[in-house]
Amino acid sequence: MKMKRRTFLQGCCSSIMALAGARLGNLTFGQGPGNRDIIVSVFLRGGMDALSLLAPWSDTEYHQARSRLGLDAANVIDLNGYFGINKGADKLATLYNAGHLAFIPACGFPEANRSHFDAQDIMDRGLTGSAAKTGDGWLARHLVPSSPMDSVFRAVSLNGAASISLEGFPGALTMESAEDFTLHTHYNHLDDFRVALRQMYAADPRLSGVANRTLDAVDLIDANPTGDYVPGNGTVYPDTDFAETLKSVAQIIRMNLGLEAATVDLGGWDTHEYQANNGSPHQGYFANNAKQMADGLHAFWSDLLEYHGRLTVVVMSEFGRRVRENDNLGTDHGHGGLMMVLSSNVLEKKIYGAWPGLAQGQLFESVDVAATTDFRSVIGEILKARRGVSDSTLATLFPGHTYAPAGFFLDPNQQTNRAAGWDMFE
Amino acid sequence: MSSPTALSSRRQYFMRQDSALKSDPGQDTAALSLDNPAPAPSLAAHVANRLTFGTRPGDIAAVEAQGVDAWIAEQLNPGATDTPELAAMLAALPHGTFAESTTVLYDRRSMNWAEAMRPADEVRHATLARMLHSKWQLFEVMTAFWHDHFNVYAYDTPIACLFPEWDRLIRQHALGNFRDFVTATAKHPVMLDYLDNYLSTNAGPNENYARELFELHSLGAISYNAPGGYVDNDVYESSRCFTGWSYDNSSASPNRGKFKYVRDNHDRFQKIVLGTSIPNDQADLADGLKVIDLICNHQGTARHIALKLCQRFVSETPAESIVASSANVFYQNRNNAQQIRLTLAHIFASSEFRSEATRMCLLKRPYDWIISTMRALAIPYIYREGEDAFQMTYMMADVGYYMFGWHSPDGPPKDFYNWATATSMLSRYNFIFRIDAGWWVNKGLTFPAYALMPGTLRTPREIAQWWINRVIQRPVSTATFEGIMVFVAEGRNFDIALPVEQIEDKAPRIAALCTVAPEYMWR
Repeated sequence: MKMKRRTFLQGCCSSIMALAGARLGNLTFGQGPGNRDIIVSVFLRGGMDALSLLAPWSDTEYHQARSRLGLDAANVIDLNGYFGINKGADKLATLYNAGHLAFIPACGFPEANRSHFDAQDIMDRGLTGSAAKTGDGWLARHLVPSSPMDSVFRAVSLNGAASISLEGFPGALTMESAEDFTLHTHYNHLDDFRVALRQMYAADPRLSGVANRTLDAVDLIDANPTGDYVPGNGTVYPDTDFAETLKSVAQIIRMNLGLEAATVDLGGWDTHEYQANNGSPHQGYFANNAKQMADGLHAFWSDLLEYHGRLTVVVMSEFGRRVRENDNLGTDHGHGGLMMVLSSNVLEKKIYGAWPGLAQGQLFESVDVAATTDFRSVIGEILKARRGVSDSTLATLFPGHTYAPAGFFLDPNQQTNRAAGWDMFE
Repeated sequence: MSSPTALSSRRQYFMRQDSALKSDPGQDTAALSLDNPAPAPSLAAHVANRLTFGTRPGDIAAVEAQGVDAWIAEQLNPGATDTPELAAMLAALPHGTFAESTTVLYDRRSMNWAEAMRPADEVRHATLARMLHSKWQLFEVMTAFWHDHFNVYAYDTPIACLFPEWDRLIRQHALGNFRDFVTATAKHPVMLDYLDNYLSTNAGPNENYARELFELHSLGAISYNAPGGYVDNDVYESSRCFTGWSYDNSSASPNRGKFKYVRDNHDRFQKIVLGTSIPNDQADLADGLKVIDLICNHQGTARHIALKLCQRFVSETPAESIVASSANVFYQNRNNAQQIRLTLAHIFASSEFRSEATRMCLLKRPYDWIISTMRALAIPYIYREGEDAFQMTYMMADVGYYMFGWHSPDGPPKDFYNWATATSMLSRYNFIFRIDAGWWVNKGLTFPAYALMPGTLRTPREIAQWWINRVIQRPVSTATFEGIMVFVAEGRNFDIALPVEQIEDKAPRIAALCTVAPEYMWR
């Protein structure tokens, strides 16, 4: 398949080149700068139970509220005597100990909203109130003005459907993997089909953009054949959907086609029941999902060692879960959650933000972890430090939000890249 | 370095087209501007597309012949008889899980995986057969609508085992009374299991069901934290009302797999839901039924359901007038056994639904596009045991949507933004291009093309027009017409007869191309 289409690029008849080739030329020879910083936004859909991932294992209030689900010293890898990582997700501790992973617990938004879909809208759009239902996505609002539309690969959603965070970005691509993003038909007919598609969609204002983008991406992938992807640094990705998806992101990054943002979802966090094995809170459903996440992120990070200097992964979920467990070895919808930032530029090995505590008087509406760091401040800190966003631009990006960084990155005015000191076996 | 060549080639390309046009003295060249959009389709075409899974050749003419109003009225009152094609396809399902009793179905949960999933698989095959061949297309559209609305993930035990019952429940209430509908779903083991209520006890209520009952099934997110709507405390209190609503999962019980109220697990104390006090120590089930009463008699529920119906049938952003009037019909008929049917009739009779501005404004979801393509080209759907991987249900998974396989309770997305994506477009192209290229001929996935064409059709212009009429069934933009005609002509003159061998070779690809024309993506 791929070879046939390469043949097409080299010597097809002039009328085909007239329609397809002009666009191809722009893309093939006018790629955007290949060195812009890349943000990979990972969204844990369903409301990840932060208290079971980054557990305040030595907190007595925690164990009072979670007599069955609470993780104790034996169930965690201790980080600082108070917080510990669920043993199922031990690879997160590896990343943390390498100094590349910042934990920001008690993250969230000011509103009391415990709906999955509302809360996801708030975070995907970076907007509150009614704008959270109608505004554009935060990545879109950042990407549109930040650099020219010089690559069809500036932003990619690898979730099947399109990510809301990219809603409003006219060039968003969706794909499950670059390798498989190709037209499947008899090669004798391929060129005729693609010319006809380009022409037919020219007069449909709502679909011409996505139709052209689709064919542009097919053409571009074809012109940059990757073969079977070989991850860097001997990395072996685990055999999970999440790892496969991150591997696809890594492949697109290594194609150097101008990627600036990728969005990845991992679902399965709405753990109302049986989230852990009875009597073994670091094992079972939640721990397995956490392991999938941790192992996937670890593989991705070791694969892309050469890109660490301009690569940031941010992990978020729409909310944390209720402090008190329910009667089904599960937890219901809560408030303050956890964000994680994976970057070689993380300042120091510590837990960031202000931990509000779990005593009754410290809880949000008496039941949930309070949100002491606004998620927009975490995103803002990344955009400022890594994407050159100014304070004034940030203020327009998140209207009504007062920027208060957790401080995991240096202020951009003082920013110097740390030497990549990554050892995945640390 | 590429642009000079490309530009001059482009110019040559259009010049060649122009000269071809000039050879046709009857041609109105003004109409050939590339940005000339597709004109609006007729009302009959609008109705025949919007209320079905796509038009087959002759369908629009049939609606016209019957009259739009009469056709809609008939569709709103589906009869007991259906097409012989459908009967044959349903008869071909070899396991007959539809006829199995609750206990037999439920016992499948401990059989091997294939047997446990079999009932859901058979519902899926039957549903596809009905979408393709049922005469009662609007009923199938509404069945799909409610499956999405009361979404469950089917491919797990015991949900897969009991799925024929769930599908029957959806069909039973699809055009009926909404409160009856909600009550039935609240008591069905499929929903009790999917949203965990079967586990919920007074020792620590599980809020999963109560939250989605409010947010997704009834009042909707539009009512959450809104004036006159509901707040988190209503969810907490309602979850207490539903404690003890469970199902019998005892292997020895003759009632296994059926609804069961466990009085000892019910929170018997007072609750307050939507400002209404629910006293302590009520009769069995009374607390939960009171919650269902409160939400189904709520204006917010009428508004939410009306909005969703209008978004499915009128526009993604329907005018306030039609949402408000539909909500009013829904609300006024809240005790009527025909509540949903009457609301639909109101929408279909409205000027908003019938206006030219709303025609073809809804993007077909990839799934719906596949069904419409199969209907238009008469691509057979053949059930074969063990070959499911080659059935089109798997191709839908390419775009993140496997029928009845959406994990989260919001159901698969419906809006333009979610489906106007590169993955979605590419998967559509590849679906039909692969069939055209003969990838699945041995699975029966093929379609007639040349044999259908009248022998008198010889020129590219005639052939393009004939296939547009047959597949797209409405006027197309000049760009689409040109694209198809150039595709047919392969460099020859548009108005000079093509060699028969070329027509024969190309006919299936022309048909395939029509299904990926932009006009065919809309309904």
